[in-house]
Amino acid sequence: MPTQWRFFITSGLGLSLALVGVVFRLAPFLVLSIPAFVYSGALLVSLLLLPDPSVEIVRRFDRVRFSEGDAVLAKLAFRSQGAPSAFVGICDVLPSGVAVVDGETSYLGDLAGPSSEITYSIKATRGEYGLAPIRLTVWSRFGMAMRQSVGELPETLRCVPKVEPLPRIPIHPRRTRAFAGPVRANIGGTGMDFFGSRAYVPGDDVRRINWRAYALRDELVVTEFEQERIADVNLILDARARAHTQVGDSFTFDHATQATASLASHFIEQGNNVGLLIYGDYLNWVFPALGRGQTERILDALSHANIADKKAFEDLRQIPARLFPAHSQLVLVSPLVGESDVEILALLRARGYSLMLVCPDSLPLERRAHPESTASKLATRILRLERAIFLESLAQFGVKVVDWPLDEPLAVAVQQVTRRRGESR
Amino acid sequence: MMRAASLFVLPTGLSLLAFVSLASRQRLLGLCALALSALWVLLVGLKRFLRLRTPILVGATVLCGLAVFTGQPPLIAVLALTASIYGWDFSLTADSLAAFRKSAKGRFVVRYITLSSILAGLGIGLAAAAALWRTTLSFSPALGLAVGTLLVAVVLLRLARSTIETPDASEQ
Repeated sequence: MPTQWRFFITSGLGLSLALVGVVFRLAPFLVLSIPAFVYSGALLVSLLLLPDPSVEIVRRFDRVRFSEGDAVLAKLAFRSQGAPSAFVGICDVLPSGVAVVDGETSYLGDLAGPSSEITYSIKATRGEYGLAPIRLTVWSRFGMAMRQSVGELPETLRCVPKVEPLPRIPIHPRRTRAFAGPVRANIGGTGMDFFGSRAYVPGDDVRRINWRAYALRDELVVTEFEQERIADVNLILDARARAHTQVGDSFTFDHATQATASLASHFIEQGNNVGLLIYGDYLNWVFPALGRGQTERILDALSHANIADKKAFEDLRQIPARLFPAHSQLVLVSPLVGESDVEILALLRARGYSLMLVCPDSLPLERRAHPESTASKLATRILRLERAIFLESLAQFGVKVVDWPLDEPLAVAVQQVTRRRGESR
Repeated sequence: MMRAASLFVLPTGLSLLAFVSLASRQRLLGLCALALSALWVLLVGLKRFLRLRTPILVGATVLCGLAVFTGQPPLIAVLALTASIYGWDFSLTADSLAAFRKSAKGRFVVRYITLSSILAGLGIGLAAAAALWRTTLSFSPALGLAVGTLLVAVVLLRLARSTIETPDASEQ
């Protein structure tokens, strides 16, 4: 409550008592009004002596864009700008989602001397945070009055999903780009892995002639290697509310977002042309591009990705396949909902897209959240079988499935898929 | 600490009033005072419905007035009212200090409570002196005193209003 209101309330009470005393000629009422008048008088005097809160406040963060789980150091420096010495309180009110891990966000004390500063470290969950103005309270040095104001220090913090290093993920889209990269293009030429051999034609590099084959067949044969090129990789993050579940503090969408960030960073580091579609609220599309800048753009888009429950995006039918280059690689990060989703994925496969599905499995988290019992064991078994059948049906369409139990890092799930592929070879 | 002081001061004052009222067989008054102090402890202690603090102060003032009206010693009522005002003030100040850390608040709280104690003592002292002061006022000096008091009140009110800062453009 502002000091002025305290003054008005107490002086009002004092005046009322005095009025009753005068009207009814009751001297004790006049006596009773004295403490109220003394309080309100003291309040008024201290209000008049209250210094102007001219305090210069500067807030600095060591970085305003950081990964989830990283600590950010903040410094709040303030100094009086020639105002008489006062007792001040400075408080940096942080938005929900931002937590202080070390230090204090407030200062309460004299501001007579030179500039002072407070430092604190913060951590945040994924998102964009507009920081509130700093609250400044000044108390009169010898009094009870205070004046509050706000220091406008507009600042936005952006907490992007943490990128987890992943093992090499082999992808085989049917069409690649012209530039050299990490993806096997299924085209003979220069490369590292043997692709085949063919008859020599004038113009071929003499160094590529297979002399042993020449010795056997008595005709010139050239060895070819498989070309390695960059590919178009488009990530699709499923942001439909119905596809995700919350188990305690753990939310499958947060895991999916983090997985998308890790996959995007991985594919971009390999030199691919990577784009992102966040499917759920609206078609949030990050146009495919190369390089570190693209990683940042994708992480920024993921930092404010949210689930939504829109009728239009009830199933995956509205995925705008026209956005993706023909025969390119699609990576869908989704827990999936039902048979209708499988149909859409089969359709995408039929159109010639190479499809990888990263499917977060919340079952291990749910098991932890519920007490162990015969019924829960049976339920888990049934759900596991259903999931296995569901994912198997996708694999039959040629979708590469990464079954990701959420109690494990994504890298482990990816490694298992890569290993399985190696064994099957 | 400020909240604790508030939880102690206001209920103590009202309990004193209740004790004196019950002793002089003013049961309703005593029970009301006890109920108000219990309500204060509940609200401030649980930090719920804090908007009711000012109505409780008004209620306490009314009770003090009734106590004087029913013939209780005016000084007891003065003590109870003083405790109510400063308990209310401590509670409001505790709100504005809530965001600051405990170690930083200590010095401020001690200074604030000391100053408040001096003011409360001054108020009670003045009230006690006024209760002892006997005078008769004829019409003309009384009229002069009333007009003078009115003028002083107007001046003080104007000063108080001038200190209210205009809201920032960003808040509008």
